[in-house]
Amino acid sequence: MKKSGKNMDPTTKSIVVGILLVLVSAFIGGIGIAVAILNPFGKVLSLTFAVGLIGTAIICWGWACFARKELYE
Amino acid sequence: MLFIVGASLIALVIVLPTLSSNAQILALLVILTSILAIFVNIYILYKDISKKHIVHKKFRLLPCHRGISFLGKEFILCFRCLGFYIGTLFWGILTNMDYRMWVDFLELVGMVPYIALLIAVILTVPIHGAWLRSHPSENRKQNILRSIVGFVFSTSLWLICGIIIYFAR
Repeated sequence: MKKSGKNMDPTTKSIVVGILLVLVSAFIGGIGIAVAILNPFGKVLSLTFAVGLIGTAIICWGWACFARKELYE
Repeated sequence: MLFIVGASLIALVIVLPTLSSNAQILALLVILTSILAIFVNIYILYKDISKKHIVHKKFRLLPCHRGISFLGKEFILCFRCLGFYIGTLFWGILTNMDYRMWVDFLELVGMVPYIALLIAVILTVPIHGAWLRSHPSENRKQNILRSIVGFVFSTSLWLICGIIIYFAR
């Protein structure tokens, strides 16, 4: 049977959210680092983007562990 | 983070027409990533607010449950996070010396093995997490394995960065 987001039990939901956050963390962090290295939009704007994206990646990484089943009960 | 990404996004949309064609393609990718980052930040903020009602704890930047303490009580890093941050720092120092190393590596191994390696590296954390659920314990060997998994995963950020640099240069 197909499980949508609302039908998932809390444990499954916490696992799915954790995995998604880890993947998103890698993707956003990678692009943030690339922007910091290449500086394609000028130094200030590129650096601001890099800080925002790398910071988001770190927060995603931290929250991937915190996406526990208690949050979805 | 929400504010920084949002403000940068508005600034980028304003300066977008003035950029070169190569930078415009990268700018579109960055705009899409920023929109994703904004949604993720809003989701985390929403969950953080609901978490306060559930566990009655203050928000922490690094919400690890157990592990070694670092810079006082507020900063507690688990072994996996320790590996991740040390790995990020390690690759950061190496990349700072020569950022072309990732492009050279991509050209050396080819695109398909590179992407296969990237997927394998990204999947280490979910696979290890699933394995830990079936083998929960706190012994020293598992803590070392946690750190190694965190270190290996940190490579994925730099591998993705290498692909972007390869196409954008």
